[in-house]
Amino acid sequence: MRMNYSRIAWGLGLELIDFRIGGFDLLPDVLGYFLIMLGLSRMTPGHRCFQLARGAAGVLLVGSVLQLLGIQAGFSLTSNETPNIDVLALTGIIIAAELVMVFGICGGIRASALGKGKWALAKSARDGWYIIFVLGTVISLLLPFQLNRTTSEGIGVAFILTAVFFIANLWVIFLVRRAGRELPGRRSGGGPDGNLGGTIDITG
Amino acid sequence: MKAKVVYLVVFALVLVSWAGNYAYHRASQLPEAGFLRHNIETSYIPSVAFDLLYIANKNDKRKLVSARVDELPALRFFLIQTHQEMRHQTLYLLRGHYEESLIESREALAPITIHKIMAQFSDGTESEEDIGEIIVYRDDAWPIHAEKSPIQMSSTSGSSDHKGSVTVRITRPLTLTGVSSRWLEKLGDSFHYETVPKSNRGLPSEGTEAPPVTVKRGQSLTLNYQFRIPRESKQAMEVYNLLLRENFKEPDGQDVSYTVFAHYLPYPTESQMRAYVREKRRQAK
Repeated sequence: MRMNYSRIAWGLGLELIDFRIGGFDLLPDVLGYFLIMLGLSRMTPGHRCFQLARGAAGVLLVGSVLQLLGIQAGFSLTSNETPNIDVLALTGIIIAAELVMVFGICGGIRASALGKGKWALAKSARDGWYIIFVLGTVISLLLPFQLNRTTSEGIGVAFILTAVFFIANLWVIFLVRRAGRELPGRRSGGGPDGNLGGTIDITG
Repeated sequence: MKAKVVYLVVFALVLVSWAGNYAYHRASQLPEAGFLRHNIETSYIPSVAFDLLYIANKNDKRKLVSARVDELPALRFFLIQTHQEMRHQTLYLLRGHYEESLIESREALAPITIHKIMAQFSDGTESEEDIGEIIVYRDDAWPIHAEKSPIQMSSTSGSSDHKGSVTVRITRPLTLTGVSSRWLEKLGDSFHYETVPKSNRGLPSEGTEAPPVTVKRGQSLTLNYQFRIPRESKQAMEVYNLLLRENFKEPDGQDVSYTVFAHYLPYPTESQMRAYVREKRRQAK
């Protein structure tokens, strides 16, 4: 179980951070979403939230494959272009799918934490979702205004939102890592403190 | 239940934001790309010819690449440049020049007027486009075999607020009889000019004077001009290229002239552009 959480955390990290050399992404999102899907598919069955997150990650995986094939989704904040409706709509869909995925992950962790009596973890999962939801809502509301503005006009707000969104996503990554430590797995044998999982985390 | 209501409200708000912005975006599109209205005077002799401004929606796939005017075989355009990026439209600049090797020998001819040019696009198509009015003067024989002019350019200046000034030095006594251009009447109060004679030392000794102005040998004469087209006027979105002719008379009655180039290229604000798009959409209905 801990390994699955670790896969999700690594997947989120790969998806969040882009290192590009000459336009080539050294940490492709495809790999990130694949790891997230892999981690989610082996989670304790029965959690609707994890299933929802897995579906969203699947959509994002398809989206990232399409981007690898050259379809533009997302736009540069430093260019002076006005993105067209196709690019903006795709960006909007990706943001919505990201929100659903994070909702699923946070919801699943919260449900698992409540089931195991880990109240602090459950609260942290709920807070993480609230922050991401508020930010996602603000971004989704403001994004279509980009149809009628050049990128440079909203650059200040865009940079602040992007930076805050980045930090909020880091929060979620740490939440997933914490869940991996605190929530015992199915086959764990159920040590009293819940940390003695039966699966060895080799990616630690 | 409460959470569902919150999600529904948020979803509705996001939907409204997208729908509203999309509707506004659609309403801000030009029905079709095209040239601004041009009011151009040009002399068909080797030199810089004139600038053309073309306006297109940013999302247009079909891009203008060049243009030609069949009546002016020596006219060539430099590579197209971006003149101004707006929120929904881009203004492109085509800078024309006359190739000396392509201008045929001629005696003085009557001017010609051009209303349409052939535009060439990135998809390989061509189409005839309205351009406004280009008056091409051919009253100079080519090659030019004029006597040495008694008027010599001394200094010139221009600024981004559509004004400029040209000073000439007079080498023989002359009388300035007036300043003329095809577009002075149309521009009316939107174009101001003045002639200022200067002493031999270059100081404005006599102040502004209306023609006729007698200019002594060795004296300088400055022509100051300024376009004062109100921003809200339709003319503010037109291109002007004036050949301001300073007309002189020599003591023996012979006419000589000196030409000053005065350009006006619009740099519209977003609000001017919105008004322009609204007008074009109204005309297209």
